[in-house]
Amino acid sequence: MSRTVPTNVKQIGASVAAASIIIGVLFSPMASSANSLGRASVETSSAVTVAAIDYELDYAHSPMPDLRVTVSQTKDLTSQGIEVSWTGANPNSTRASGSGGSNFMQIFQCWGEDPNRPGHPDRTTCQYGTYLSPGSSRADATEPDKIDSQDVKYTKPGEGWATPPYTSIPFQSATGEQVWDLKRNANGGLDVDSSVSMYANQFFSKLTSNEITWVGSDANGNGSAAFEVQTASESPGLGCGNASKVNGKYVGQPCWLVVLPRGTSDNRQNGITHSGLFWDAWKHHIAVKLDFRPIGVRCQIGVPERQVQGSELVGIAFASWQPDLCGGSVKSAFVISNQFDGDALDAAASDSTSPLAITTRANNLQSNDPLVYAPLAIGGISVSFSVDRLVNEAMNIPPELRALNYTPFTKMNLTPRLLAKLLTSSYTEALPSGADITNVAGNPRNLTKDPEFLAANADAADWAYMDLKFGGIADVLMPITRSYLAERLWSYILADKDAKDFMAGIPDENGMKVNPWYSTDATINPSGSALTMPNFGFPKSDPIEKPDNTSSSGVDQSGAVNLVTWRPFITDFEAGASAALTGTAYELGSWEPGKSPPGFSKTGRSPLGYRKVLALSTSPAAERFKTFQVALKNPAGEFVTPSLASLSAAEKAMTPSANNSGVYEFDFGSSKAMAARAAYPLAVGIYAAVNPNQQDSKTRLAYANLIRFAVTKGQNPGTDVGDLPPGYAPLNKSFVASALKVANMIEDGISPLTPSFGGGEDLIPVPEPNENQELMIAAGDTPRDPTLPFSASVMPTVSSLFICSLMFYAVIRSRKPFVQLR
Amino acid sequence: MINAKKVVATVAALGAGFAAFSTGSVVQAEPVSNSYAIVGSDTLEDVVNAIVNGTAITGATVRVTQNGATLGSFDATGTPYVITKPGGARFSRPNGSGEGFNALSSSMYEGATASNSLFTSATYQGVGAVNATGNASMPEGLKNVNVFGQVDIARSSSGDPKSTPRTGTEADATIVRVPFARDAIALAFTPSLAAAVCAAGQDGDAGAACVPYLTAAQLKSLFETTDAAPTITIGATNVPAKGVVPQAGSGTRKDFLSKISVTDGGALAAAVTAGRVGVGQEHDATAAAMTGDAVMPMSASRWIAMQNKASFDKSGTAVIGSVHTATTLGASPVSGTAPALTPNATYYSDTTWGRDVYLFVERARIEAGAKYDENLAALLNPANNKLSNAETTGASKVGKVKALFGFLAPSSTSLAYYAPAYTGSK
Repeated sequence: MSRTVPTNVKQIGASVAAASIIIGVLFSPMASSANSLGRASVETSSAVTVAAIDYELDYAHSPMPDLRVTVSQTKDLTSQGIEVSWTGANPNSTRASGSGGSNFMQIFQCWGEDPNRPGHPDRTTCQYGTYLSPGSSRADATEPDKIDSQDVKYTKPGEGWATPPYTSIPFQSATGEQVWDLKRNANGGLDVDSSVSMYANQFFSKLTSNEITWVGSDANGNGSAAFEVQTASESPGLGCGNASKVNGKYVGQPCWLVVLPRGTSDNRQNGITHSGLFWDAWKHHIAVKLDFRPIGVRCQIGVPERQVQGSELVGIAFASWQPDLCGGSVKSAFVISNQFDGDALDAAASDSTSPLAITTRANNLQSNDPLVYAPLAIGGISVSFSVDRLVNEAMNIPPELRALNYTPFTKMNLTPRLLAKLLTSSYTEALPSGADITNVAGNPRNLTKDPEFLAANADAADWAYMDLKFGGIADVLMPITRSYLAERLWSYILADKDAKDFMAGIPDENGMKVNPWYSTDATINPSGSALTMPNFGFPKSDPIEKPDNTSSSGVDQSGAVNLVTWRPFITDFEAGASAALTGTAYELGSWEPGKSPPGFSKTGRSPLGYRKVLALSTSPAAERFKTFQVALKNPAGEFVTPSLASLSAAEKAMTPSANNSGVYEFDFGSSKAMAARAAYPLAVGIYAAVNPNQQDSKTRLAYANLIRFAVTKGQNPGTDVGDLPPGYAPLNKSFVASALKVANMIEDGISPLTPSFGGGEDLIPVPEPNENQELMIAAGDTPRDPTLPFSASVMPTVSSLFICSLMFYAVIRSRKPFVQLR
Repeated sequence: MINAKKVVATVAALGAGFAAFSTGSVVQAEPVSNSYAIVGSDTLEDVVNAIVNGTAITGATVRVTQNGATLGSFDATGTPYVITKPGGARFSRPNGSGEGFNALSSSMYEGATASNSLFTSATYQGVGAVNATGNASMPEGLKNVNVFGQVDIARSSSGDPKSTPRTGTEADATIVRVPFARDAIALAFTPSLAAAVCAAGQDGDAGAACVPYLTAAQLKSLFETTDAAPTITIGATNVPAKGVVPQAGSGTRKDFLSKISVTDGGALAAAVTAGRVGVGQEHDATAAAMTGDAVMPMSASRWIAMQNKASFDKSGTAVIGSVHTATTLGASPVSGTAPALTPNATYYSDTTWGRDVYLFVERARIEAGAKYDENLAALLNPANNKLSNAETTGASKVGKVKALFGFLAPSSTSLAYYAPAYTGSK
């Protein structure tokens, strides 16, 4: 009965191209064809297309009989974004306030299979109903003559008109618990259990649920949406990816993606006003089974665990490589904890066994640095965005642009100075409403109102027609963590003359000035000292506060709001990509005097069509969460987005860094960088580093073999297990050679500081083409595995570091939506 | 129930005297109810007034009473305060759906004055300087008033006036929403703007009459304008126009703004402060703001009732127009000519611009249990020829009265549940 067919990728590509041509060159293409531009490599080998005619349980009454749904990836899923697109839907999608609207889709995730209908999910296992808007709830009062026979078992019968029947679809969690506000009594009837909430319970609420309650289609019945796939870490009630052993092999618990077409009426009502889980609506669902990577299972068989700590940029590559690292020569399960690269390097510089450090730059001057650095891949710092069009009707809007209203922008150019403006709370909307903002008076309200931005994006003329306010477009969401990535971002800004001048307090051509609290000129900065540079984080330097006026008699009372309350930090770069995918701008909610104690409410995700989010992220995270990425101006003057090609172009232009010739960087001022027109400027080399003097030869061997794997088998770009995931670029030959030699040094215990270690042919290698590279290290006759005395006194330090890193890891994995400092 | 014009005149005459609030000697303009008190929405006040005070508009006299007792329905505007029950407290007159819901919420909780008071710091209609949201700060004398038992039913033109929906089984799902009728939101244009919109090509009537229409996107732009001289762009023409929004707390305001995706606050508040968007009493096309080239949301039912002279006519010289959608295609929300205007069922059926209107009531009083009130339950039961009736055949039917006031039967008869706006422990 049901039939799923792999998508013809070629065919989709062709239709996307055709659509672009029809729409024209002045405006960027629509949502449904957006993939060709910003979101790279949408279709994977596990993409699946399902047609309503092949799948629906009651096709004869289908609200959208021609519907065909494509899901971009259905295997090896983890916490990530996937693209859901469709054709053949009803056009004329409308939103409404008294009903759910008409001719729209709802998209959500379920975990269990319906035992009576194999191939279909069980609706009692769906994460659905947290918004309580009409047509989107899990339970509704209904009328006696409008209850489908399939819903009777979930219905408490009515008693007269004032106590109507109440249908409530229970939630059966993957953990074996049931959430149901009706309980079976001794007589077989149903009693109300008012202690249970069907929309905000231990498993989901509107702050955590990934359900999409409304997404429309274009005038041709096509549409698409990026959907946040949740694993058991984000939604324990769904349990997707929970590991279990099947035939001796660990597998992740599969789940379901459900697309529910809602026409103009269902559930025997005149409009869309009742739950989509009620049978009359549910029977038209289209679902695709999702296979997950087993969570927490690094290896199918018991192997030693080894620690890796440092830059979060490597995490997504390790997740892909790990299954292959369990066997072969490495035979290790790598436990990765994200922390400040500098701290990780300090730990790895020790002579006693430490976690392998991951960094994007060298720690110290080469002459006294005991670490050796092996490149693993090229990655990038990225700016993810999701901004939906909202035309300014006060302008004369070209009709082709009007048709694109509410669809996402796919392209955005930023200069170093624009990035500086976003990082320094210099747009007025980046500061709390109601506070004294004379420091930035006269500045534009947000990025989209800045003449410099409009000039930088003149090729996409539609930005000038927008009427976008508030949300998250006056600054970027910034991680609270310290990292060399942050330092790199500031270097990019300060390497640009315009941006450097701006930071120092010189206004741009239009008179926009930096928020003085961020100025690098101590005479301008009200704190009396310049903003610290280099900076490993993103300070919220402005001590501005909207005062507490709850005791005043005015009508606009609210508590105090400082900069961090107004624009909170996110946990890390990866959280930035997630925020862009889910449309979460972390806007401050409304003041709720009725709360105890009174406080501001949280805002959740913005619905599709109303998203305004800019966030710092990394190129692999942006690819994983399917976000659009900003094109940054490179030293050659071109705007470039992160991609395999642009990261590789930057790799080619990298030169040895000033303090360590074994670690390369994209030097913004170098002649090579300035000639690299196709290079993405925030590309960085990702290095593994350790002191070869560490005593444990087994651990060193594992590290060496890890590096060998990473730079050989692990360099194949792709989405399958073992591949180098999208968002990374593979190393060129000379980097690979360099890495392999460092691996030998680690295995052999050859310190770069060894006096005998110099000259000779077997050199630490040098990426060609490289004019100013000097040869500095050579393998000499250093004895293998120097046996050093074991120093017991070192142990506490090491173990406490280890515990710290574990604790830190736990914090960052706990997925708190954001961090607020008070 | 009362002559609105006269009340307005009285208020105006009292003028400055009100500011000090030494108003104890002012005669209470409205009688008190000897059974149930109904407050809230302006949209529903005329039809509910007619039903509970008695009307012969159908050709037969229709009046809803309960067990021999008459009901009291209180207007949204008039004197700044009301007394609803014999010997009852004087409290700020609930102006609109949201304040009606608040009043019902406060009325449900018995206890110390401080814990169930109404409007401790809320907005207030009446006297004094008007702020950006169209309200004045409330005098201390009207704050912290115990209104327990003073309000029984709240009229609401919004399905969710205070955004407290519940599925129905929660402990705090103590308010039930009873469908009353179906209305639609239309637009009232000043004659000059109507002519300009039609001339620019947005005319929903192919014939001689001008039925100006706007799109939701055009309305959004107009009500969030940052332009000192706002215009509506129609084709190649920029038509000067000013949006007028109903007063804060009105159900029509909440509904209208959500339909055009405008947040109540932010850009709209800025536009109101700057005078680029006007504020007027809902459904009053003669409001001061409705001069020049102006447009305001207007309940189609109110327009019909006013044109049919079933309600006091505040339509002035305004022209009724529509919102263009794939369903309405810009057609007029009304059919026929006054005094026999009727709803255009197509327009009313639009999922966005048609809207069900409701009565809210304390749930425990109509469900079986200790607080059950047989009379109140009977009053709201749609099977009875009482408040919720929707039968349109027969001159004696309440549903027929609603039809002549421009209301169709509600699209859904499902009940829905809400938590009170005030929980009794602020």
